[in-house]
Amino acid sequence: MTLLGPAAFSLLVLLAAAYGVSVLAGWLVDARGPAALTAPAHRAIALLRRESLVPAGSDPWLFKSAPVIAFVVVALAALVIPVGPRAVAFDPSIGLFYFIVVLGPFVIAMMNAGWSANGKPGLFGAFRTAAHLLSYEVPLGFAAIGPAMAAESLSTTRIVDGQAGVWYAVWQPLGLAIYVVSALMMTFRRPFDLPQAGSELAGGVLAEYSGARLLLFRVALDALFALLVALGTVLFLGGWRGPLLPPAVWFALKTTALAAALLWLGARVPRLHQDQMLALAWKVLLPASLVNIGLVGIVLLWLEQ
Amino acid sequence: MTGKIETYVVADGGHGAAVLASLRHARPGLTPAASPRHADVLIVVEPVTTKFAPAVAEVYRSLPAPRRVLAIAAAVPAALYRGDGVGIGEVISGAPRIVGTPSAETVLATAVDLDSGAAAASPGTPPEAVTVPLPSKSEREIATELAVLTLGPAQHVTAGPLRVLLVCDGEQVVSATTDRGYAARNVAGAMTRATWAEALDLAGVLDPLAPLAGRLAYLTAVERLQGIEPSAATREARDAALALERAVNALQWLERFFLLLDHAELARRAGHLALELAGPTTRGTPPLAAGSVLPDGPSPAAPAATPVRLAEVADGAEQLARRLRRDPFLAWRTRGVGTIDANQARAAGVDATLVGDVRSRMLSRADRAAGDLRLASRHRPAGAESPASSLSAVPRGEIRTVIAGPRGSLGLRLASDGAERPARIEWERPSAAALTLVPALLAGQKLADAEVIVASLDLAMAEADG
Repeated sequence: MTLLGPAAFSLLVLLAAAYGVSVLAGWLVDARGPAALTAPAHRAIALLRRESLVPAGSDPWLFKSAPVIAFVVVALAALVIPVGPRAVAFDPSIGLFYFIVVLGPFVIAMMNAGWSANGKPGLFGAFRTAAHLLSYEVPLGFAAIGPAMAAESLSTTRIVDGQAGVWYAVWQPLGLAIYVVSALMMTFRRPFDLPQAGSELAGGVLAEYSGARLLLFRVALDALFALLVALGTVLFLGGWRGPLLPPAVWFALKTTALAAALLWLGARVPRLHQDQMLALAWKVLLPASLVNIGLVGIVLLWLEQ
Repeated sequence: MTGKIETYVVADGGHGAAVLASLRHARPGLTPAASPRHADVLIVVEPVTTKFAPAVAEVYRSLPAPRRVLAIAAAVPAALYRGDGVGIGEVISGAPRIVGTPSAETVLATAVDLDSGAAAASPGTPPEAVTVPLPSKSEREIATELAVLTLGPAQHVTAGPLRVLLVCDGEQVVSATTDRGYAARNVAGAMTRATWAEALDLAGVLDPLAPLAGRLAYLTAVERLQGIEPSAATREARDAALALERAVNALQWLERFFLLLDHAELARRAGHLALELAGPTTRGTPPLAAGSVLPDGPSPAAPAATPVRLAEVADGAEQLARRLRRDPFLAWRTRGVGTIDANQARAAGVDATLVGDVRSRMLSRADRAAGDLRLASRHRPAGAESPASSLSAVPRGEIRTVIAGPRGSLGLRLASDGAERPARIEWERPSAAALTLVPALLAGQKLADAEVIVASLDLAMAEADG
């Protein structure tokens, strides 16, 4: 029962963050200007008023459950993100591990969405989602090991506490770079939005979704992006730590800046196809993440001495 | 009660590229929908052929309720379709229409006011069956299941409808088949039934994106049959006007290409450059400030392109070309993809400008856009006059002319028997020639590269289908 209140608050913050991501994308990618502030609300209302179709021949259970599963796992993973000292809904000693494991079913939800629609764009989108899983999982996990090693803990609050002196991004820049690229892959954002490639596959895994289900999926994707960026802030940018301003404000500023940087960069790179994504993940990110772990270990040993 | 339009899906019968180019810039954030399920409105650019009509009805039925559909009736000569072109009302009853060349604001304002649910799609004629040969399992090293993926006919990879059937082994394209004719109008046939003067208008709609190229090809052929030699000033004015048309087409192609690659920043830059030239209307290429190059006088209404403005846009195009050369991710994405060698180009009868890979075609179009804008900006109006050609009496003879159009060399074989209408018209269409390369180019490519390769050919389907 004591978790309900913080969980509800965490959900509200998550929805606000998802809205903020949509606004940022409107500013930085679509160049909407001031209209970007209200565009997500208009879009949500328009989608809610639209029919939520279920294609003939689809698997209705998987089709209808996919967006719900996607949103629920994101909401569960958000529980371990600390936005301030003692401002975390759930703080297990293995918070980082919990986060990565709980988010695993998101890609399953995407694959279900594509496969269950019984259409070729969705099927090809599902294949691409599997390629995503093969691409981001290992580099993301290895990049997150660096801060865990430095903090000597998998707890997200301990990792933030470990950056009281200097951010981990300062002496683990390679880890940060690997993390943000892997995060873009995991959140299916430009330039790694192959499963829902609008201009190629007529929407891919989301091709057959409309109305409220489409809205739920889009909110889940925006929330997932916000969550991964927030975790990046926790792991590498000192979390809520900073002078003068309240902790939650620092957390929001850092997360917003990192999200803006990623969205801005994503709009300046063409969509890579999956061979290139897999090559980037396995030939560049994975070896680099192993090197990063080695470097972090050497630095920690040196600091110990 | 309807609400703001945020996304739209388009069924373009072949004449809609200019409308769609202006729609993209009507309002920030207004985007084409990836799937009909995601669209607020279906925009149909008429006329559509009877072959394309079932696909249009299918797209309409794919929209979630409340469905909204809007038809834009492009201004094409009535002689063009001879019963094959259908209005949207025959396919989707109750759909409102805008006639002419509306501004993007008019289109959006009309779409917002649509009475949702008023239109209903008739079943229509089922689409023609296309047989796609699949390689037998014994011919392949690993006998996996193949999937046939259909792109189109209503798609955004080409300007106008085209269906491409891809036999895919996972993400690998095993073979490709094109199904064309969705924008066929038989312009050549219509020109032989029209008078010499009427045929000039028909020549202008061969390629709706390049009306000047078609008309100048026809006019030049007629003048040569009549033995008329235009003055140097008129020839220079025509070259400059053609260069401007090529530049607008190149910039609009670059915008569509970068939207396909999902490169938002480059798409915006190319689009703004094209908008600087074409303006916020749907009229396409603006006239030069220099007066007319055609017998019917200067084009009305559209903002004229002054030398100073052209030079500024040329600077922007050169900066864009330099940016494209320096971008390593763009190079990674497009290098070595869809390579056409010189022998293939010669065999297909396409211009040497298509030789190379997707990257080289992209860079060459950007460079040519800048070069054409420099050429157009150097043109000065002194001495230009309306040509003296008369389109009423053309002596017997046969001639072939070639014009450097936006998609390559546009050729015309014209024969006259001294009568009041052309005896024979035969167009050599660059898009039609490039289309023949598609199956060979796509075989063995990745699915993601397949669309990029087709887009790199810059096919105008109305021109390709003739």
